[in-house]
Amino acid sequence: MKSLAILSFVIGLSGLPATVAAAPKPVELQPINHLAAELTIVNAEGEETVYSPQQLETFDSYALSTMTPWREVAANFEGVLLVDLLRAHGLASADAITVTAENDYKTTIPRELWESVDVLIATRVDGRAHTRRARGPIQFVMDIHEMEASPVANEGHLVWMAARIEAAD
Amino acid sequence: MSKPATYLSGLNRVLDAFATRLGLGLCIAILVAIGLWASFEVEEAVDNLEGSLDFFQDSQRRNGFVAIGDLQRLLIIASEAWSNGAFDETAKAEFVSAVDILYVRTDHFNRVLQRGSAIQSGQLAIEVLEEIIALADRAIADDFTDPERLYRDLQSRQEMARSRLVSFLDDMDRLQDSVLEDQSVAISHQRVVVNGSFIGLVFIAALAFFLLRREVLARKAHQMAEQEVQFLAFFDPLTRLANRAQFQRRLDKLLDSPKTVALLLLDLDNFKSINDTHGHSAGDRVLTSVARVLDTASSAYQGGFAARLGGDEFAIVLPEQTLGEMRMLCDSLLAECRHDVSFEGEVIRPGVSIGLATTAQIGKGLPRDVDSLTRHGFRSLRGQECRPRLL
Repeated sequence: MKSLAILSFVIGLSGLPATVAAAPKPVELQPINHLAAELTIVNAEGEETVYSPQQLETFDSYALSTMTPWREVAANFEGVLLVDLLRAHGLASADAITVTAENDYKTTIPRELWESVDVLIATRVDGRAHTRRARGPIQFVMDIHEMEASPVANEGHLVWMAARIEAAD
Repeated sequence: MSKPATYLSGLNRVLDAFATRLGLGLCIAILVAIGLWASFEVEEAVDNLEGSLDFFQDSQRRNGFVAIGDLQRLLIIASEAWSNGAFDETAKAEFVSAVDILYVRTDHFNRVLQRGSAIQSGQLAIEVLEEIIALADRAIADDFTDPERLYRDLQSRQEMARSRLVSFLDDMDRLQDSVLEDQSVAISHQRVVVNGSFIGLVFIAALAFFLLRREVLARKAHQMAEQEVQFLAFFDPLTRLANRAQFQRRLDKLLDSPKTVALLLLDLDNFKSINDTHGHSAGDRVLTSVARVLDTASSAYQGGFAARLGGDEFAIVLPEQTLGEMRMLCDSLLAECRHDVSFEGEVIRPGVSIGLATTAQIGKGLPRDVDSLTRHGFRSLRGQECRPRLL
């Protein structure tokens, strides 16, 4: 009887809608060849630190499987957490940051976003180096359901070809 | 009947027809219908507005502008390489990066366009952008063997793409203007709907209130008429004392019980002469004055009551008292009723005669009923039996 109840519970869980948000999971990344790209972080004192994708991956790495507005099928993104990067450069307590892309696209991300939603700075997709044509080499990714449920997150925060992070004015 | 009176009568008939549950139900149904209609209209307008938001979303226009910039970047790299005679490694990397950026831009532009307006000029611009990407990809694959040709091919297509992107942006402007115009018309329409609904609601609510009030007043009038009829059935309208019917009924009831009962019958002296000399209004005044005295006197006894039997004849029914008490009461009534009555500057002094009968007096030989008691009372009043008139 007990096993039947457990089975029912498991079946019930499997029937849950696929909209359950997934949190990034810690992962060990093996070295690969990345495309040439640079992400510049400017701290509060104006000092710039430039990261290549390989250098970014020296931070704790995480994997997140999600769809994006441009991918109907979920992909496995790997990279580092935005909040870790911001902490490392004293920007985690900033009210907001401005992210600039290689094509000069700019967006402002409020602190509430990285404090409430896990934002992954992806450098790999499905185990391979992220390409520009796939919106890499450095792309901001959030779990799509978490993003849709968040009152502060939106598609504009999924910066592709990210090139620069600094405190917002 | 004059025309306004005819119209008024017709209006009254219509209002009477509506001042019913059916009429009020109809009013409420109309109120609900107006509310639903207004709600439907507003809902439709909101849907239209939401549907047209795509035309105002910045992403479509922005992609058009950014695509022009991305193209320009690509062309500048190709132009510098042609000027230098060849692509060096840096130029190659920059070119590849610029093509990748244009590729993603074109892909994104296409997605946004499909999601939104799908304007044809936008589609045409995307076709040229895709041609440019294909051209650039071929050049990358050929390792940039002919920079001049690459530049010229890119330049000609860039002009075409630029022209189509400008057309797309113009179309977007026109569409936005058109949507704005439509929305402006829709808002004007909404104003009419809202104002019309408001006026309709106020009118229907006022009508419903009016009909409700009319129905309430009609019910009240009906109730009052019923009460009046009820009153007239048992009371004398002039003196507001019990009438003969009620006198009969109440006395009959008292006589059914073993209690002893006293009946005083009163008759106004020379009442005809008062009527003839001072008029019937004066006579009525005298009657009401006497009635007030009798009513006050009878109220002092538990179960006692006064009645007007008709014309100038009154009666008081009391629980039987001792003879001494009855005599004192009769004396008091005679004195009270003789008070002057003023009427239009003249003074009238009425007089009354009183006959007395009690259940004890009628004895065991006669039936204990209203007729026996009143007959005995009248005999007393006329001085035929019992004691003479109390004057």
